[in-house]
Amino acid sequence: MFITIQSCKKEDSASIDLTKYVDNPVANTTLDSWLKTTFLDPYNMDVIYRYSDFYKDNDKVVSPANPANVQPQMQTVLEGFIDPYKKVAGIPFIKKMLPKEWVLYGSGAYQTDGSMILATASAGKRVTIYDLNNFDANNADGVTRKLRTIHHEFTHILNQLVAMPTDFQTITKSTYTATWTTVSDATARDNGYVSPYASSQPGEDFAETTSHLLVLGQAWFDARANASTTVGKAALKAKEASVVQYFTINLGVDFRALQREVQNVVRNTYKLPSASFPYWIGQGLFKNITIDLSKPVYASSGISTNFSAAYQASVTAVAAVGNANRKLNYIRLDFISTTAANLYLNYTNTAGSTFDALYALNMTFNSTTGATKFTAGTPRDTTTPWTNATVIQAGVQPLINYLTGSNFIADWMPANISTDNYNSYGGFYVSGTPSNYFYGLLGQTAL
Amino acid sequence: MALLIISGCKKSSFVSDFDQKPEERIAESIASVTNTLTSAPNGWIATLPTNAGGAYGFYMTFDANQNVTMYADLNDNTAKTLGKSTFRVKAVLGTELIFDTYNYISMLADPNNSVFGGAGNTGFKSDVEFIYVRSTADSIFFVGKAYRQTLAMVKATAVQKAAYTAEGLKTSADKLKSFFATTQNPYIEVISGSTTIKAGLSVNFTNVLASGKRTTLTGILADGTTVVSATNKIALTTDGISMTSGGLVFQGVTLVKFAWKDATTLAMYDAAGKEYIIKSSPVPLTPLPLLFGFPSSYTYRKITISSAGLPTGVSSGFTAVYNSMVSKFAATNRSISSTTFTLTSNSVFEVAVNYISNNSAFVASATYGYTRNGDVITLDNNPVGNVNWPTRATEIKPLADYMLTGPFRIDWVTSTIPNVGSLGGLYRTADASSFIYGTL
Repeated sequence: MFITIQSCKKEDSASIDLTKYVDNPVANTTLDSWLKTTFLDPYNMDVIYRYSDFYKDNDKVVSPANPANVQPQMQTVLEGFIDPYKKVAGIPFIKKMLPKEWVLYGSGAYQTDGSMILATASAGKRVTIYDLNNFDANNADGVTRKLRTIHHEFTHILNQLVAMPTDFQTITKSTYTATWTTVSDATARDNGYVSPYASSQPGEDFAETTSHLLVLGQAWFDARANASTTVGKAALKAKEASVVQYFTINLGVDFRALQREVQNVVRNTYKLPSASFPYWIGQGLFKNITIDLSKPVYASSGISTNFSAAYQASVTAVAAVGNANRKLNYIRLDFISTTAANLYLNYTNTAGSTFDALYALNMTFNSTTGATKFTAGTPRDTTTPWTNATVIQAGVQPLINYLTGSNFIADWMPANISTDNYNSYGGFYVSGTPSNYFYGLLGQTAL
Repeated sequence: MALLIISGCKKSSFVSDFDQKPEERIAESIASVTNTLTSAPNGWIATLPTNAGGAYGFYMTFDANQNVTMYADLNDNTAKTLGKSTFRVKAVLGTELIFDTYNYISMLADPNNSVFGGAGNTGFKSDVEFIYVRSTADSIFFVGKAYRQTLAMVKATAVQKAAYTAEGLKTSADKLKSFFATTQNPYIEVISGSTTIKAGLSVNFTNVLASGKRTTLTGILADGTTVVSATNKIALTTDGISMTSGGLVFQGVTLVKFAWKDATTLAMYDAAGKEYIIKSSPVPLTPLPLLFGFPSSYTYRKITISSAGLPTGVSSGFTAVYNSMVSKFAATNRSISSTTFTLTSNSVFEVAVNYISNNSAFVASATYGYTRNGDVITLDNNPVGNVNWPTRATEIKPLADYMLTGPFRIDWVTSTIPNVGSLGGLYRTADASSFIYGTL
């Protein structure tokens, strides 16, 4: 016995025009015009600041944005993110890689543990920025924190388009943990991570390392590495190298040039205190500045005539001491603390032997403004470099006069230095007379 | 053996139950809602309860360029400063009104607890997206997308618009707050069956999540002991107070608003328009014995004489007794910081005198067994003191002696000074003019 009942009934589908559901907000305010000419027309980027439920997680309560903060926030995206990439990577790169949708929400997105999400990236296409209503253009920490999150999220997008280097995740493989919220910052640092969040997994680590290098800068990164353990420092430097290679080789974007562009904005526009040169002198990161005017950097980037005159005068005067024709090779400013420094001279006699001479300087130094005043000090010791100093005292005098004769401001310099050297040089200019300056190679190890 | 095959193949065209395609119907709905909102010549008066907190009142105007302006009764600033933002009407889950940039209505939903005092990163559990429900000739109704609270909007008159624009919402709120601050024990009379219930009225104007922007009526039924109460979330308007969610239903009566009958008389009105003048009682409407007791269902169980001393404006035989104790303490260079009378269990009554001696705090206390019969408490006159009770016996004597002059009847105490707060008393049944009194 078998019974089969079949039926088929074909129906025409209802023809419904879904395009009629598309909702186009009226866009004719000044803000909308600015967004159109600044983001949509040149880069095909849509900035969505009018609340829509769809761009966020269902389980989160998020507030709409206050329109007054949209332009200031997007201005930082433009100058701290888009412009650096545009300058270093070019417009075709931007049009291809940069997120096309920027969604802005007024409040943060709160997680169950009470922490707040600042930004997210998805599908290589969209970055969502939260907490717009708390945006304060005058708060350098807040602005750069947001910018760091944007760079972090964009790194995820880059990884979605060009895979992360496979060797990266092996560098600190054994210490990645899902319970990263319980990891202290000191532990993360000692294990070779830029932040506790970086220790959650390699993808986050890569994005965190990139964003910290770009936005907080190389000095911050080096200081963290130096404060870490031997293993941690090696890991951090290896991760840095991996990031530089990924950008420069895999993506074809010169990472050092990119870092420089972002740092210029962070230092000069947002004036983040911890991105300034005097800050890191105050932190003891830079132990010395070596100045050897025969090096090519001074030919390519220049040196002030005031300083080179003083330097040359010392070269001449050193040679003239006792008519012994000693040759001044180079000098170095050693920072002992923020109140004491030594001026070091390296010179060679006619027999070919090289000697050290040390001169004591007292310093008053402001690690916020960079204001510096040197005064001649008394010898700190009776060992050979100090006795040598007495011997060639007349030779060093022009330099001592130069250093003690003016009020200086410490700063990164020179502005026109090559990208390769950008992180390695700093110096002083006379307060009020920026054309009178000197600079040298920064050292992180005491010599 | 049966072989049964039934097959058929029939092609037919789709026949809709509607006379228009979905996108056409949605477009019409969007246009209709938009037109209704933007064509009200004097704007809209809106009320919105929140899921976790009380309700709030707004005055809103919508224009054809998707701009919305509003005043709101969240605080003094929102009541008098025009807030501007944008809105959309679009198809999401049906036709929706979305307040898509930040304004006062968003403050209720802000997950940042420090913005307006919400909790748990969900604010007051309110929405910025509202689904269109229905409209009438002068009203339009929406329901919040997540929290399903009704946003009810009524067209404003030219007079109302002028009032809101001239800081009228703040003026109205100030006048209402002042009324309740100066009216002692407000109540209305509600007829239920054959009795008239005097229902005590409380209005909370604060924004405290659990108790703010709500009004409560509390009354005693004809049997004299059953306490009934009802609460409603309220929104402030330039005309008074609006109830929400259908109104405050109390003993079969649905009260829908408060309005000023004249410059000084405030009344409540029910759905039929009947007026209930708000009157003032020198004592609270609910007998204190129904509210004073040890079990957790009772509101009060302690009478306190604070560091400020006995409440003023009260005349009682106890006053001299208490002052005598204070002087005796002072004579020994000690000062009393507070005195409490507490039901610590269903059978234990405690008297505690907190005092300062040599800059250190001490307490001399004693417990009495007690029995309670209705509103009368009878102590067993067998105090068991703590270590300081006998030590300070001389100083405490006036009070200790007084405690033996019970039984005591529980009742309210009135002060000739308004705004002294709820005072409770223990009246000597032998002499009603002599009673312990303090704050509850």
